[in-house]
Amino acid sequence: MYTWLENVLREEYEQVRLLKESPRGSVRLVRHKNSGKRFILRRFTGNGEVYQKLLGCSCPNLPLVLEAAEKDGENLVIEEFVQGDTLGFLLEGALFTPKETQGIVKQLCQALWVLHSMAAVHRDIKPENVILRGKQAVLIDFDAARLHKPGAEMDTQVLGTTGFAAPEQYGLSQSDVRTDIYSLGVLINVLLTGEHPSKKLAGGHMGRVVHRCTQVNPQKRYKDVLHLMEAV
Amino acid sequence: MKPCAHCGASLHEEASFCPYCARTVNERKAIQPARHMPRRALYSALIILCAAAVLVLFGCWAHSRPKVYDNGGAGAVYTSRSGSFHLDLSNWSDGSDRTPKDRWFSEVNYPYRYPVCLYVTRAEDETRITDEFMENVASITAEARSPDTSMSISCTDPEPDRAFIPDAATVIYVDYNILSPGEHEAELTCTITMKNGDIIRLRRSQQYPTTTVYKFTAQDVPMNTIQELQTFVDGLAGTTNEADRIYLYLPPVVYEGGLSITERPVNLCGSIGADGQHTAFTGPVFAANQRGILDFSDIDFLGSGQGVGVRASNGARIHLTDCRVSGWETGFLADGNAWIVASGTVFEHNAVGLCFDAEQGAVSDPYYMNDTFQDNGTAVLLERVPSDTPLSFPDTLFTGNGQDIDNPCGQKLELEGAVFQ
Repeated sequence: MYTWLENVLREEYEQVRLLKESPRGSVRLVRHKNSGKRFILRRFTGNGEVYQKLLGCSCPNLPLVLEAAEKDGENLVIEEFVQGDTLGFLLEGALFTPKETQGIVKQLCQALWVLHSMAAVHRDIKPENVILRGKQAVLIDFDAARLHKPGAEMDTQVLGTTGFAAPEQYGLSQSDVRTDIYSLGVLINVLLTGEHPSKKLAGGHMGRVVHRCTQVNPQKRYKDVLHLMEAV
Repeated sequence: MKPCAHCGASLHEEASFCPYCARTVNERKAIQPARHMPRRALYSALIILCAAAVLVLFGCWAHSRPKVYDNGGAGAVYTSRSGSFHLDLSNWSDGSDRTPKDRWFSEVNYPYRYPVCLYVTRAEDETRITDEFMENVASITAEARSPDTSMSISCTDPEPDRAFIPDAATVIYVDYNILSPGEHEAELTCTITMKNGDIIRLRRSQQYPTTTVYKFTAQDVPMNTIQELQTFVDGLAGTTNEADRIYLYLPPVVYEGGLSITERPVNLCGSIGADGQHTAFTGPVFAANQRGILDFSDIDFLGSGQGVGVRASNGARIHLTDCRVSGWETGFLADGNAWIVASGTVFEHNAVGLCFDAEQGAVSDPYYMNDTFQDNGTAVLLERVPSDTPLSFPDTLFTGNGQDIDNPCGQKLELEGAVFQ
């Protein structure tokens, strides 16, 4: 499947732009030669089972994963190209108001609810992985995502983005849905203040939400994204 | 390999996407993001749900729990699965007139007893349905109470008295004694507990004004002849109230002739002279148009074989106590809607000792106790008795009569305790 897909892609598609490249893989914007349709082509090393899960579903706050193939730990993923700007890009211009933040966070909670309902944890929630398509927030990049396995004591790999990753992602305990809640709390704070909560905590109600999201002890965080959504 | 459903290109067996035509080939499930119900709304909904559940439960509970009927009055309409019943706690008077009598005129230091009845009728048409109602009754209790310390009052346990008052579901006898003059008041409470737990309380308030009692003797007024007596009796109506009690203590004389009492009740008390002479009338004594009861005691009514010795008519009620009725065509007669009763009285040498020929009306005491009927043609003749209540003759002696009891009207009799020789 991997080889077959790679061969067809080479023939039928052309690269538009290299969006990201790292030792773990690359993200490219490609175009179907015949139709001109644009897609995101991901190559990465690691666990691609979350992409496999997303093949069977669609959610407005998640990119449509069209194809996923794996061979010897190498993953090839074709997904919908979400047109818009990342929060990271937008944050360079201005901070978000609490109301805007609330709207974005609620949609991210809905995206995470889909992932979490598949027993998947995103593990890399950050401004660069959220695209605003009009008023619609879309959570992208599941390269760091993995399925939560009850019983496993700790993550076998250190993944995630420094500053947004929860303590347990550094080996304190296994990642679960509350890992994403931690990252979401940091994201909320960054959207409102531009700073990590350890440096400058947002004020008011949203500050209290951030505080609870970013508790070191996962058990003191919101139980799940639905509770966080309610709090927001 | 499998063909693309859109372009027909040959695809890998596990392909979800056709890279040739850039269209998806697998089925996807659109996942609607969860909409979390805010906790506040959830709590509100839960509270509303709980409140509704509580209301429903309360409604069911209130509907199923026993009900208490207590409107503070003597009447109530009770509705059950069996239908609607009209309950009425009434003073019994004469079986036909159940008009509440809220004022009992009473003498001081005189023990009274009167029956109070529970009547049950169908609410729709007022027909009596006593048995149907009583089938659903678990118990009935009664309590008579007065805040007035100058009267004593009590009552019997409610029991049916089908012999005396057959149309009443139950009868409560109230006993009271007024200790000082004035207005007195008491309340009788009847509590009916139904088998389904429902409780019905009926309350009857009763006033007991004391009456003025006048006692006259031959020393007070001239009463030594029948003319003097008749004149005095006739004059009482204009000088006393109807509720007053009048006692005439007659001298031990023989009144030659009869006495007519038609204006107001008068009680006649005879006496015995030193020579053994009893107060006696040789003519007929007649009472009519009375609302009260006339007590005649210790008097001889002595005839000569003709006429009626003592006659009650048109509503009069005469009680003879320790009298003698002798030598009359009819010794003691009730006609019209009258009532007669005797105790300790001797009926002798009469063609008919005691005769009822009265229509429905002023029913009174049906117990003929300790009487003696001797040597009469017919001791007791019952042409018409104004009540279905059985007549009872406890400890009454029948001896030497041509016929002891002639009962052409088929009146119920209780002869247990009567002695026939």
